[in-house]
Amino acid sequence: MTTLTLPERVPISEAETHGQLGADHVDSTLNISGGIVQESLLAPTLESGTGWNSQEEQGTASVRPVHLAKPLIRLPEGTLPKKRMLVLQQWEGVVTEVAADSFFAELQDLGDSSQPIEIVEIPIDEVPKDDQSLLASGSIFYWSIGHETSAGGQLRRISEIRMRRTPRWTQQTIRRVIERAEELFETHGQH
Amino acid sequence: MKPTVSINDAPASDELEVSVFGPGFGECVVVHLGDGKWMVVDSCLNDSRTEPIALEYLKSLNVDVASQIKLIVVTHWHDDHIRGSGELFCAADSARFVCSAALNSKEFFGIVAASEQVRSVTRDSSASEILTILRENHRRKGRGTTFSQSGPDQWAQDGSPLYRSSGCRNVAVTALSPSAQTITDAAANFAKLLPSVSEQNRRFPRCSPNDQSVALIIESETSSILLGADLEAVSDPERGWQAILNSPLRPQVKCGAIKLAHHGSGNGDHDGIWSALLKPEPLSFVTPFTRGKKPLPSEADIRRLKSRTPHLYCTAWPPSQKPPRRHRSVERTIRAMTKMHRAVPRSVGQIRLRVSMNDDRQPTIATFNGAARL
Repeated sequence: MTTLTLPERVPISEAETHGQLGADHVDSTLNISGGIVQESLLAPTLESGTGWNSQEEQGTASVRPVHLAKPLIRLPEGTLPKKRMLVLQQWEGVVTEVAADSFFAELQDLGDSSQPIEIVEIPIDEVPKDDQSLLASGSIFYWSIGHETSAGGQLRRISEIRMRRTPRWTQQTIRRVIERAEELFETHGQH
Repeated sequence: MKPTVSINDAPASDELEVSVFGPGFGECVVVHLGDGKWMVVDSCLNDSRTEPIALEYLKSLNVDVASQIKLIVVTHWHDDHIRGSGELFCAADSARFVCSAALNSKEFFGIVAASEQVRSVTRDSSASEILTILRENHRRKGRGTTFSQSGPDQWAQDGSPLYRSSGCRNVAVTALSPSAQTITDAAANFAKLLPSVSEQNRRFPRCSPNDQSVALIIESETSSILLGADLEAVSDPERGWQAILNSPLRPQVKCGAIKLAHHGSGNGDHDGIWSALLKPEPLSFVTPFTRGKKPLPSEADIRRLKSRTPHLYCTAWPPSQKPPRRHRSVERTIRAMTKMHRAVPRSVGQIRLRVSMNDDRQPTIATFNGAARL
């Protein structure tokens, strides 16, 4: 059996981090089980000519890819190694202000509600391009930090900011709000 | 040897108490008006965010909140002043509810109506707290046989008398704002906040003007205290602090103590406050606001305020704290991704001022739970 070992410290290329991590290394002492690594070691021999091309794996494995016309072993479906993610930290954030190249937000720890509210300033570049148009004062987002173990067994630190897609105001809902406002003013306002 | 001061000692019936509470975000002022009658101005939650701080404090003093809270004032609807006010009002069965007359418009009720839609998405509570209070008040007014007008018991504006004690105490509470001009402008300002078609459903931004807020003056036979809410100084003489200074309706007294406006910021300050409304070197209390881009009060604000008075107290100092410690990998990622990262203090500090309403005894000040003299 081909055995791959996770290097003591695995360098992460710029492409792999997508500019999100800004750190140079993945720490091999992080909280992943040996089981996950072992499972992903089967990957090279199970792929039939299409594997070994993901960014996560480039330049990180010490074995060259093996291209086989037919798999030597066919495991039952569902046992193929998959990417795994271990979330270490997750917040719900509310954008409080958007500046030219960064935004300010309040974060609530989703794993421990006893933690204090945190205030952050984050460069807009850290938000996925598709989500940047959703950045506005009052919009909600989720920020997760964790480790991802690729199919090839590589470990990398990941950080993901995802803006929450909330329903948009429609003509109908706004009409309802106006009607409701008139009703509330009629009941509680002073004319 | 200094006498021991306990947080749970109730004031004497002839003592005026002003307790200013503030964590890093939010404020609440609890006032003993004499003879076991209380007023609460604004609301924030306690350390564990489970109960309005005013309820927790008054219960700790064995106050019967249902009968002894006589007045609840919501100075404005921003979420740092209103959290828990619905629960507070529902518990205070005998309290009258007062809010800014600037909220009396269809446009503001439009914000309230929209917040009913938004709340399911964003957990925003600001406008819905007002609605909780109004519903409860509607229910109370409908209980008797003389059901008439609903809404708050009083819409406060410049010169509105909000409380007069019965008997010999002569305690009075008067609103100093909003001005007539602010009330006129308010509807248009709220209209700008209303959502438009295809806009995403999101939490309402905190961008309505602070000059809508209700500043108050509390007068007794021996002392007067100014509560500045979030009122700001603006160039328009008919709005903000300048409007108060120009108003013929305000009580013509000088106060010995002030809850500084707008978290001690430069925007909340005005030379005229110190010359026309306050005695020299007044006792000055500030609540921090740490959720903004820069925490308030800033170091510069503290220097400015200390040049005004040597008696400056803050409910939570320093106003921001280090974020909680986390897995080192998480901390490295946060450091790499953020330009700034800080935490808002959770503990709700208290500055307690007690003044005799019978004689000229020196007032006593005590600080609890992280509040400090600066």
